[in-house]
Amino acid sequence: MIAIRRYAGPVLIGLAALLLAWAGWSYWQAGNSPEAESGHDRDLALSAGKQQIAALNSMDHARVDAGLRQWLNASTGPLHDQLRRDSAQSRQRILQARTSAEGSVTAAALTELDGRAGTAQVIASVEIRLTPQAGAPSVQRKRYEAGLSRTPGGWKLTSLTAIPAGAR
Amino acid sequence: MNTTGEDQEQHFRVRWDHTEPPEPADGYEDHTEAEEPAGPAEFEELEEAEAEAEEFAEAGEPEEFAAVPAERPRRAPRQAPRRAPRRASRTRRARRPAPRLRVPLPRVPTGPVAQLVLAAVIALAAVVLLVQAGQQRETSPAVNRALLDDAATTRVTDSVGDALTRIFSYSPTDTAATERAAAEVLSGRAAEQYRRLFGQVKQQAPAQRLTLTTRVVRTGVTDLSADTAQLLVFLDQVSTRNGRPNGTVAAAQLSVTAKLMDGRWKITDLRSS
Repeated sequence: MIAIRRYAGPVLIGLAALLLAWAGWSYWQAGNSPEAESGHDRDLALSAGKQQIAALNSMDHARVDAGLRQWLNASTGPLHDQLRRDSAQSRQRILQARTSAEGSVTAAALTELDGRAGTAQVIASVEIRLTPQAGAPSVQRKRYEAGLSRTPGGWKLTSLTAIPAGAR
Repeated sequence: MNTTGEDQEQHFRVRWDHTEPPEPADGYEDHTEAEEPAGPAEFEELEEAEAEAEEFAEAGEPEEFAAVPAERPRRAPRQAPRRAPRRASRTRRARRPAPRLRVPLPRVPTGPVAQLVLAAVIALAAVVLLVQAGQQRETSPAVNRALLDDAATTRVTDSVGDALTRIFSYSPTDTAATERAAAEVLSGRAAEQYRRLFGQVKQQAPAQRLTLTTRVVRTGVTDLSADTAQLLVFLDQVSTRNGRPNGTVAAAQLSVTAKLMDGRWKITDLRSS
């Protein structure tokens, strides 16, 4: 009887501490499981893809340099290199057209995700509002497929291809 | 005579492209942000209890090695020297060898009530943590299985792609097959919408030898749970009249909601994106 009285308390405390340890582990697991990490990575890739596809479909013809800088910021790898190579040409074309474009992604989805390699594919439906300096604005619809790559600065586009009707 | 047919047929196709204003399909972003972990407030209680425990342990330390510690009043050793110094020194002498003979217990409070309280507080903290963990799991990005569960993602992609191909393809001689397919793969709002539109097509198709062929170009799953899915599907549609191509290939973008019913994915909502 004395032994029970003496040890009951410490044993209860020990059991409670074990429960606490298990709860702590469970809590840590909930936030740090590889699944949760992959899911978070996927969500980041999609939201970055949306933003960057919109950015690459936008241009304020009064602020071409800022617009071109945004294009470069949204891209990496081959797309980045290509945009950099073509920047002088793009600049001239935009200045001649005197038309501003504002792209917004109306729907987007990832079609592929390789978290280990840090690559993904995204498809997006884009509405582009074109505003010429003179004349009425118009709206264009485009479908895109884009490649994404994880960089230290977040997910960025490595390719951007329009999928016109009838394309394979 | 052909003009009405053309209107009706165009109407059918175009309606699917434009009936609804485009909506950004980002509803599932609600799941992306994880909940804040428990604030320090929840643990204050525990810390207090621990401090209390330490105090008890210190106060009760001499008792730990006494012969019948649990039976003694807690403050006895401190008061003893004042009242009866001789007895106290005897007790001290007698107690000295004891510590080496016993396995020392961890420094826990000695009063039975204090021990119970401490155990309860620790258990309570554990429960709070478990509840928090459960909430975090519910809001975890892993709840959305899209692209995390490759097999399930492929299954819903294939089912929905196949369903769209069947319900948006018809030939003048076989509108009944298309209708049957629609009854099989559509449900809810999508089924109602489709019935309204296809009623017109059914009347025109045989007379004008209309065909529509739909091909899935790309499909992406944005949200996937055990029984609900959200997809974005790009379609190409080609129609012919009297065996000749009727206009160019049309591009359609659909946001699709699908639900798993009796083991089959059924489309419950279709919206143009």
